[in-house]
Amino acid sequence: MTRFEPKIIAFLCNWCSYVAADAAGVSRFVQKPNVRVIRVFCSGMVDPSYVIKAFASGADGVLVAGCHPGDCHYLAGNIKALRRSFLLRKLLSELGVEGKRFRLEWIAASESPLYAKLMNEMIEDVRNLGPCMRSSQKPLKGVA
Amino acid sequence: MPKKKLAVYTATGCAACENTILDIHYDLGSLTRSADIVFWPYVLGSQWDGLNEQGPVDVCFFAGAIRTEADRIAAVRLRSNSKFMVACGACAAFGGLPSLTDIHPGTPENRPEHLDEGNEFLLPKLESRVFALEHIVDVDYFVPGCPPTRDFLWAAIQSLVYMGDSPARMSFAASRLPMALAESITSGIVPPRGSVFAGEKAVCASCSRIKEEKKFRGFYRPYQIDPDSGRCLLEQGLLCQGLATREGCGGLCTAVGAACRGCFGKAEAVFDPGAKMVSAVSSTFDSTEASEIEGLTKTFVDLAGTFYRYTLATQCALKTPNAEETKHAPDNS
Amino acid sequence: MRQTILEPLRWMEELTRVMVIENGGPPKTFLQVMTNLNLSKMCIGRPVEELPRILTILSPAHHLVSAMALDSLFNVTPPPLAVNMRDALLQTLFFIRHMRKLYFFLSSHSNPFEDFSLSQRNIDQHSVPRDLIDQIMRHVALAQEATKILGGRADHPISAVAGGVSRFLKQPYYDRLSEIGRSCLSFSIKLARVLADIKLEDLLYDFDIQPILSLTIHGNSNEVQVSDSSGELIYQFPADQIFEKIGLQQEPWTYKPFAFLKEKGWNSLDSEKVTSIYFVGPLARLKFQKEIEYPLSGENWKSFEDAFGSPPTFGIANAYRALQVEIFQAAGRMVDLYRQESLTGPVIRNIPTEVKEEGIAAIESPDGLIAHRYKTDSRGIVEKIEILDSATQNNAIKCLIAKRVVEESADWNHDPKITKGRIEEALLPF
Repeated sequence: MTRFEPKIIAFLCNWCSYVAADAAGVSRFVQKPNVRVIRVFCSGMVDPSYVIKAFASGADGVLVAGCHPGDCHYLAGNIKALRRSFLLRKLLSELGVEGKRFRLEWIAASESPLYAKLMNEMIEDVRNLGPCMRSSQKPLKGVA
Repeated sequence: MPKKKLAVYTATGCAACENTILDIHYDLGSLTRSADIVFWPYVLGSQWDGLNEQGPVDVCFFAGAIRTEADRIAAVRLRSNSKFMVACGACAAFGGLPSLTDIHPGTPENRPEHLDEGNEFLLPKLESRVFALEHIVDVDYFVPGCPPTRDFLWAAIQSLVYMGDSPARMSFAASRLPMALAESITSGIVPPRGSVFAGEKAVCASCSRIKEEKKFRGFYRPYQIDPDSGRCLLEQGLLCQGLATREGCGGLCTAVGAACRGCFGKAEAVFDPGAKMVSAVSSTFDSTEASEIEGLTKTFVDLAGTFYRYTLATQCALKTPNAEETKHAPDNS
Repeated sequence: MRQTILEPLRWMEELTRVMVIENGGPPKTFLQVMTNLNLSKMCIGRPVEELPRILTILSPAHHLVSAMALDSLFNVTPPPLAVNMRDALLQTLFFIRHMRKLYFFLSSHSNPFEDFSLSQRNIDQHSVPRDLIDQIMRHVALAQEATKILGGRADHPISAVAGGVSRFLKQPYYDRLSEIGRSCLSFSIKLARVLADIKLEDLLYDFDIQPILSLTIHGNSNEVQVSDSSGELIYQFPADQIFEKIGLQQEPWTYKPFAFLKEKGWNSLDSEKVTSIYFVGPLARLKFQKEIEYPLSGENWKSFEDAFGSPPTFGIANAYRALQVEIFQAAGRMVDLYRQESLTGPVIRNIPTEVKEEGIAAIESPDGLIAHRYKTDSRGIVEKIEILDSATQNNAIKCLIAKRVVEESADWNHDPKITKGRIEEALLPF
């Protein structure tokens, strides 16, 4: 049997985390190919419905990454993301999505090694958890 | 105009939807020149073979969720006999309260074990989970609510019976429906499939409580506080789902001081009611400290059972049935 | 072997059918409830204060008993205003439920939705004036308005909460309520007069059921009383022991369990003498009652008494009469409770301060005794629920009635539809 390859969706903030991811590639850090990156302007704009939609569409893990608190390009967008993350994680776990599948991290533009490390760590965590509920299913109507 | 034929049926649920139709009886009496109710087991004692004799039905109001094989067969039969299929009430439209059983799946309890094989009593088998009507057959229109309000149900009945033929009657229906829907029924055009006979905005739009700035200092369970009358319940720390829920009830529950639980389903613009509520509630936390926010979050209980109280089967993006589950239709003999 | 299925039964809130198996000898009859809500799975894990709103799916009266179970779970006493408001709601529910049953019964020989000109033509000796039927529904609609005022919503009320009710009434409601109350009372008396002229025995297939126990809650003492067929009290026990005294038996051919008295043990319905099942509802309550609280004018009541027999027999026609008696009793109480004095007070609810982890309550609902018991953790999250819904779980009686009709039905081999109609009429008033 082939090894389970998890699908991770990463919402990366345009001003810090995306730059870090870019730099991690340029610096040729070893990264596993399980990540699909979505560039967003701020971690604060990642509405809980994006995360739920990602899981419903077959993601095995979702990472939201933004600037460190205080460094937000839009003053406090990342704090908004922080506020939502706890309740969202609680809802997800009640619906059967384990806490480790959803992470919120602060990654500054200069922290490309941290990005690579976090990503690899998360992929292994999710691999150990196995496929998420919607991983191999064709979603029914209503979920794009 | 030939008389229209109506059918009413309830699968797994309660009699409240049918009783709501009965309660408009007084007005319903005025329908009799234009429509006949030809199939209604609960009130008229209609039998299935009678339905076949009647020939095609114009509008079928189907209430109740699909939980057993018998429910599924009834849905398929009525669909093939009817021109318009209306999912009536939260159970038929969204799975309703019965679908709460699927939050934590597992083997159904209190079900006699030896039923499945060689069942001489032909008790219908349970489905693998609770389905809404639209998972089993095509649904033309929805009348949400638990139970639907009399006004919208009556508006839906009138719209689908008269189809623009009686302008005087249409004015009642039209005044209660969203503009697009109202325009199509008054001009005698069949409303677009999938139309919902209820409002468009969120319940907050019609709730009479005063909304000010939302700042959450703590979460309360409904038994813990007596909310001030006239002030938004969410602002007082009660989990009220009005802002994610479709309008149409006129804020019935919030008017009595009970928080909204979303029996009309999600509002048009919402993707997933749970996600919307998480976003709305947590954005009002009055704190920037991670530990403080985490502490606040721990006081919440049973988010899934609250946010998806009536809508788990169709609107909870993570719990809607997949294509495989809805298949395996038994033969409709 | 011959199998006959009569389905779906009319007027049943859940999908129900009768299956008759003939295999030589007397036919075997099964009354099958085909709906399975799986309530305990619905409720476990929910916050306990949500149960009154969830369990109204059974019937509106379950909202009230559930709120009372919460009172006991949280150890709070509702203030008098709240008690009155809940009671007013309960009496209104009695009125609506019984009125609807009478409406169903009286309109059973005609189609109430038929074109008026047609229906006038089809009048036969069974028909009841259409005007009377319309008036019944008008008063149901009025009473529905009252439940909406008292309970927030008509079919699934929401206003009863742990320790009281959730809001005060506003001034215009008092006037409207007393208007509704008076109108319902005067109509119920009028209805009784009209119905007194109709001989029920001619309208339906009437028969007496074998002597059987009955179970009622005695209003003030909160004692559950078990009495025999003559109305004599055999024994009683406090209502909070109800789940120790009454067991539920699950049979393979129906989704609803059967309630029985544990003391006597479950014996299958086939046996000749069934001793452990009991009887609830209007007729059971009436048997117990020595006098009527809101009598009609003397002679009318006399005619009732004569019709009932003394003590009243467990017959189908008597069950319908019991509905009528309860209708004007309920209407009388509605008038009393709708007065502004009863529905005003300084406090509507007391806020609970503790969670006792177990709550239990039992009341008489329109269809008979119902009881709830919840077990929760220390935060009030439901761990276990037990529900005694006599109206449906007491279906042993209904099975016996169905069996009896099938056995006695000489037309059985000719027209099952007649048998079906008789079963439906016999089951409706219970």
